[in-house]
Amino acid sequence: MSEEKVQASGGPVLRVSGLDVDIRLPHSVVHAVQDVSLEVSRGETVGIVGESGCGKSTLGLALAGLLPPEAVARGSIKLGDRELVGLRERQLRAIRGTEVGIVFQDPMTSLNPTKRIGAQVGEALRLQRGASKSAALEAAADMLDRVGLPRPREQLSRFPHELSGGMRQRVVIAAALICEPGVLVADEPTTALDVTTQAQILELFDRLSDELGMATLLVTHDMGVVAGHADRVFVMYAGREAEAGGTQTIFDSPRHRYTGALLGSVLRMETPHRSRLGTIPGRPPDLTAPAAGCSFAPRCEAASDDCAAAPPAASADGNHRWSCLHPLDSETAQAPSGGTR
Amino acid sequence: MSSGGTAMNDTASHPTAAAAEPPLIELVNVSKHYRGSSLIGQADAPVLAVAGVDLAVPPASTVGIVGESGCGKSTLGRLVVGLEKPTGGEVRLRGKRVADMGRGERRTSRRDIQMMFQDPYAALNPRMTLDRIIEEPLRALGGISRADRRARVRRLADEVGISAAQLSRYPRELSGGQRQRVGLARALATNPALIVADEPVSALDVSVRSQILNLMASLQAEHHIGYLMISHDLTVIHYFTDHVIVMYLGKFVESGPPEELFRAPAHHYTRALIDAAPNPVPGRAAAVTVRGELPSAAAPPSGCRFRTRCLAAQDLCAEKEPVMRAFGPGHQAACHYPLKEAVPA
Repeated sequence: MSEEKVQASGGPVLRVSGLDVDIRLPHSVVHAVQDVSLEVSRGETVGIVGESGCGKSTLGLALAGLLPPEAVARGSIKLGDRELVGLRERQLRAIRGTEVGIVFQDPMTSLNPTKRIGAQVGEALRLQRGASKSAALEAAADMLDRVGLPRPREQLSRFPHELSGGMRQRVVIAAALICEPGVLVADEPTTALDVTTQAQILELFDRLSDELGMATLLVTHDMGVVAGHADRVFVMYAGREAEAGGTQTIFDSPRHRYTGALLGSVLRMETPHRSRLGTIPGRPPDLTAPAAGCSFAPRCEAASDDCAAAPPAASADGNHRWSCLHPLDSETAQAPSGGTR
Repeated sequence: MSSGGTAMNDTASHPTAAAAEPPLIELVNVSKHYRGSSLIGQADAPVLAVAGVDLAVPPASTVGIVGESGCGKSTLGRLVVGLEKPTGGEVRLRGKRVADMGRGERRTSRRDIQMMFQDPYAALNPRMTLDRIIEEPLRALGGISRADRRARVRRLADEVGISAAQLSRYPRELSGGQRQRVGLARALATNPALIVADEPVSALDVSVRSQILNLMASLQAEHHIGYLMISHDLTVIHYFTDHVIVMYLGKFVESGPPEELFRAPAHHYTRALIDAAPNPVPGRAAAVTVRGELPSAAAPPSGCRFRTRCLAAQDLCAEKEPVMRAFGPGHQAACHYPLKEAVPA
């Protein structure tokens, strides 16, 4: 999507500011999300990326109003004019499925194996919008058609196990979109699927965000998925924003050392055969005891003593933000330049 | 040769192939079918997971197999390791038919081929410490003293980057990348000539993925091992292998050197896989060129199996199964209407 379209689409539909999420375990507290701020506009797709354990899934759950009971959120998540932080489960339930659609990696976690597909896809319409059974089924068939399920009417009376993984994920997407939510949170929605199915599902997201003006948060570890489908990228490390900006900017001229290292270790079709691959030494930190300073410092080749002292403040250039005391040079950014597709 | 199967008769011309040595493993017109399940009401149509394929892995080289889930690539890997018996065709180890071998000979020759899995956690015994896990194949082999086994375990651990202190730990205490290192050490224990690696890096984060690929490359150079790498990830296959085989519904549809195969494929299925693969280059992704999903292997389409999803399919494709034709050195594909011209026979 172009920059102009973002501006033309009005203000953000989702606005997160200073969000912290702590997960209380019996003997410790995981600081899974720390001081995260981000905005998503109508029709825009923001990719949330990072390695496993960086807090991206917890952030996704918070935005979807699906945090587990042991999680405590502070800060603000505004959906339109409504504040989600502090809402009760009953209030959140009314928002989920109608104003925020949710798609997870494994479709079977979202589908009820004992209920027919038509009933599941139409459920939110019936429960939240009071639609009649026949109207809900009619709408379900229509939505299943839109998400590319072949012979949608025949599928209404089938059960999830009768479908392939890719088809099940289409059913989950149809159920998530039946009320035409303004926001879609998709956490690794295509990770379990074949590349051919993945391409079809991601193309579907692109089309629906164009047609419905849906704002999409695409949580993924796959930089290839982000490169092809996100307008902006939000790079997380150890629960915090490391860097955020337009997709082209992030790939062409990353400033945060972590983003640079991450991109440097990604395989591309253009990567020379058997060339030595870039790696990131060490492991992501333990989020029960966050570092006082930059949490990437122990793995960073450019780290100095200052890095360990305090979390680096964010620098910005337009809507490109990074929190790094020794940023990569914007001219000589080390991200390997790829060919064109 | 059965129609649709492919002979890797480029073996001899392969740059890393030794001239006289017979291939470590050879599959000749190998099939594997399973009895169909009647769970979804389709009673007992046999599922042909692998349908008459020919495969050879030249010593110390890396052959990659790509395809969608259900294409038979994992079954093929299990046939190569000996975890599955073929229902048709024959498997040869160093030129000798496995079917003719006695049990003892089969077992000793099997130590030449080891396996590493996608999810090392599922593959490692959770009740065993790491040193026991790495030592186990050596114990199974027999005839090695305890002291020698221990020494070998320490050396293997060191090679894959597992410290001596970690050897007394359990798999659950390790990260995914460390577990995959242990899986590699175990696979290396018997000094194999070939490691079948089924999605070895798919479950790993990108930074860890590149560590494991670097490690696999250096171990190959050090020990002259061959790899049969099975993956759905085209970037990994392109980067790591010397020869690529594209599989669709139990058959090989195209094979060739990765550079040529990915730059200028002959088969429409290969093209579709390349277009669908996410490439980390910003810009809107390429248009989707393949629709739908793999049809059931219990009732494969007539003629060319890919025709039901192929944008270029014509009447002939339903009538006649295409045979493998040459498209360049070591490059073959089975397509009636290929994307480039075949080399005249």
